[in-house]
Amino acid sequence: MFYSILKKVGIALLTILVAVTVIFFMLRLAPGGPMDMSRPLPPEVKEVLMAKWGLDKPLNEQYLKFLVDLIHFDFGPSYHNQGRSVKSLILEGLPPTMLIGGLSILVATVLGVFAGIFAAVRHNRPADYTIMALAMFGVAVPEFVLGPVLILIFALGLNWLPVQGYGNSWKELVLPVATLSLYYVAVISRITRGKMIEVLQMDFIRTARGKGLSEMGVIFGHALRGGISATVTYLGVAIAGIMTGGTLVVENLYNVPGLGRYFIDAATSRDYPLVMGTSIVFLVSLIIMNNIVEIIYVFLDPRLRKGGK
Amino acid sequence: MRTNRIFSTLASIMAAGVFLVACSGSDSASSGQRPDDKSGFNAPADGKVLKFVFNHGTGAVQPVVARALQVQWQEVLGAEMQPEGMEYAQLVNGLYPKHDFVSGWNGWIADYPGVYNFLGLHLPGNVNNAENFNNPRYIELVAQGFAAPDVATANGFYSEAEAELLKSGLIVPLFQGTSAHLKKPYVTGIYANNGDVHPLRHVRLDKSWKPNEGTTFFGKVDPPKELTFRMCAGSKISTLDPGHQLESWGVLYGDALFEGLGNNDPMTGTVAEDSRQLLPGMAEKIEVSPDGKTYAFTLRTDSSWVKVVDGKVKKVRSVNASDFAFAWQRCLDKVNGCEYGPMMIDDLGIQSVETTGANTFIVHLKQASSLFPTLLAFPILQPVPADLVKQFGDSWVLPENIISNGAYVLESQSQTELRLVKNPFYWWWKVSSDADKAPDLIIATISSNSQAIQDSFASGQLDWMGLGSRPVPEMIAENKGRAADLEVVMTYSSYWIVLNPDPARGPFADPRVGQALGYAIDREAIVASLKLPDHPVGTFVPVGLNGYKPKDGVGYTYDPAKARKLLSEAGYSVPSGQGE
Repeated sequence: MFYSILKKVGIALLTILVAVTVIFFMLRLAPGGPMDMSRPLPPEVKEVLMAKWGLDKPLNEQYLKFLVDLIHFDFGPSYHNQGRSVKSLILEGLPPTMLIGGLSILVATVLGVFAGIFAAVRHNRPADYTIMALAMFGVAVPEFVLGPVLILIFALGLNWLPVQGYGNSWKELVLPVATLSLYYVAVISRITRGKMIEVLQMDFIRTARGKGLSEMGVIFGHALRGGISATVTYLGVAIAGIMTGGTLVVENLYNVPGLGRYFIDAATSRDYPLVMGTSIVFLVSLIIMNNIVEIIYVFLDPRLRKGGK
Repeated sequence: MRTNRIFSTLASIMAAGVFLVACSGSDSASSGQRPDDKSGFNAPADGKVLKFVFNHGTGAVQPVVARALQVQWQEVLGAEMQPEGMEYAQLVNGLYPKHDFVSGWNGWIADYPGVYNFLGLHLPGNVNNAENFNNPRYIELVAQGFAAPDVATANGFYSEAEAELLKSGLIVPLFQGTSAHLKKPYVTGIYANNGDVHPLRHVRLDKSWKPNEGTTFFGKVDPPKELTFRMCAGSKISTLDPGHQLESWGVLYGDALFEGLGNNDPMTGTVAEDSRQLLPGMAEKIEVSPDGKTYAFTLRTDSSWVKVVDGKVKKVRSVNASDFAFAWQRCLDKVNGCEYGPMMIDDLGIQSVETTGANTFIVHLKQASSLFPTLLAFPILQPVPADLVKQFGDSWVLPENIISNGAYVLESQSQTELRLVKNPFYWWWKVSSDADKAPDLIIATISSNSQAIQDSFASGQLDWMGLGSRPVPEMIAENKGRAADLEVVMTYSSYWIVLNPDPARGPFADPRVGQALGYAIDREAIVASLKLPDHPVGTFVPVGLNGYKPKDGVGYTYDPAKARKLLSEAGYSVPSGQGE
């Protein structure tokens, strides 16, 4: 057990090291730089800023300094947020991102699983077809299309919800979470339906029914555990998708002050320390969530435990 | 056998490809040499077709305008322009300073309402002189304009200079920019002016406003219940430090937080229309030496630095002359990397500053300047508390540290919102007649999503959007002149095509080629068909800037016959009689 954990931590650290190294050099070797504004800066000003940000040093020196600072969890100051350290910006941006992302995963999982179970139980009947048609729609429509449509209907049309904003009312969370979660509701419902249909046809389910168990008891007491195994595996992918793409789109669309906003601003303005910092946070979050998903999967399927038959 | 046939087929294809590449290389007009060329220009032999690359930025406007130019130049001149899009920041920071381009899009928005701010771009040594323009007559005329004792005399020299610039064929003007803003009818004090300058201290909210019958509005209109002004003027704010301010919306907020020696008039965005002077600010008295090179400012004594402490605005200390001296000297010293420091030295001609006593601030100029007194409200000339900068360094502008002397005080700041509260100690509230209608709270949304901001305005979530947060072009095209809450005005901005005269780069060493391109553009048709909010112009300096008018006869018009004649004289083949 101890060696297993040690191995996972080692692999995680190596993954992070390789990823940050690639990002570090890609940023600096790509065209342009942090001083590329909408109009060129005078050369004397550029010189001062290069020295201030350490960009006048050789690349290998910059990389070594970056690694040393990283060990101390110091990402340095942001180039384009005067007076702010990258750490403080990350701590500011993390809660909104976790809230929107977490709620989206929760909504997607609960709605998706229940929709999938319902479709499986009503297999080949109108309810099944309806749910799968809606799922097809959810999979096909991207967030940057869905979001403006939801704004048009619920904010501008019905005036039920605000167009954008964060931190003033719970209503500001509804559209971002709906936009982000719909795709995953669709995918999770399809995966759950498929697996549940398979499980519901197995012998042990027939045995459970034969013993006189109610249908609800059969589904939730026996079938569910096997039926959501594929969904749990997919959750790792879903979390990755939400963290690395979904929140970026949704935070910009609905003006949520999360990490996604910082990441995009940093990337477009070549704010190197902020890009590195946000990338590392996304990476670490992904690794942690994937490991949690693996643990849950082992819990659900005893065959995966060491010595399990 | 089969393998051999495959290899021999591949070899044939490769040989054909090499042959085709070798044949196509000689057609490029940009690399053609004319053995009998006496003009000294790199004109092609045998009247070849004009071919060149045009770099432009990405986004909503530049690519579509590039395509329109491609079509027009092809129709009128038979020219083959290849548009190449790239990140605009890469273009202006990467290619232009190194003159590593053939032709491209360029633009400028005035830093201040002065003609020199535009003509100075094309002086040798200016980092914005992408075309490397170096014309002695032009340099002399601009210098004479800069040193002129009054605006009218200066403009006379400047109009001659502009004529020289356009004669070179290296600058082909396209548009003068416009600014559009959406403003609820119960908001007053914000005016659509050419400088797009909107001092927030003049904003007033009329809670008793009632709509007139028959007036059309774009967005929902309900009078405000509280004196809270909700606005969006732009996206990310890098800093609120006046010495490092680059974004126009950052200037807007900085103007609310910090007060300089003078204030801009809200209607003109600069000096007042009648007096041609700035509104009073921190300078209670201004004395100028007879030679015009020394200014002594006596500061008012009823102004304080304040900050928000436990939800209330509290005084910190009085504003001193040393706060101005520190701010100005910080920008003059190159080691601090103030982005507008060079402008202070070059355009404003500031040589040194000093203080005598707590309330007298003295400025020494290199030469007398008619421009200097009109720019005292410029951000880099606002005071900065030296003690705070020494204590906190760059972090002095964070909400927990910042102090201000302006009409508003920073309460909080996040990446999506800025909150400013009214400064009860601000001297001007006592003399302003309707200060009771000034907002107690300003909530500035920070967003780059113009559509979402426009939707927020439409739904009633915002009272004003403008400056860096403009309505989308389609909305402007549909509602201009119809919706009472939409205002569109020309700004002091210019957009043009820049051509590289380096014969090793392209065909524009001959001024006639650039001039031909200029006369071949139907600017009005481009603006109308693409529904652009911009204003078509054939001259470079924005119309009306500080009373400026171009010289008669100067400037490009749409004249296909003249365009073809010029290009033909330059040695290129042109289609006959098309496009007229």
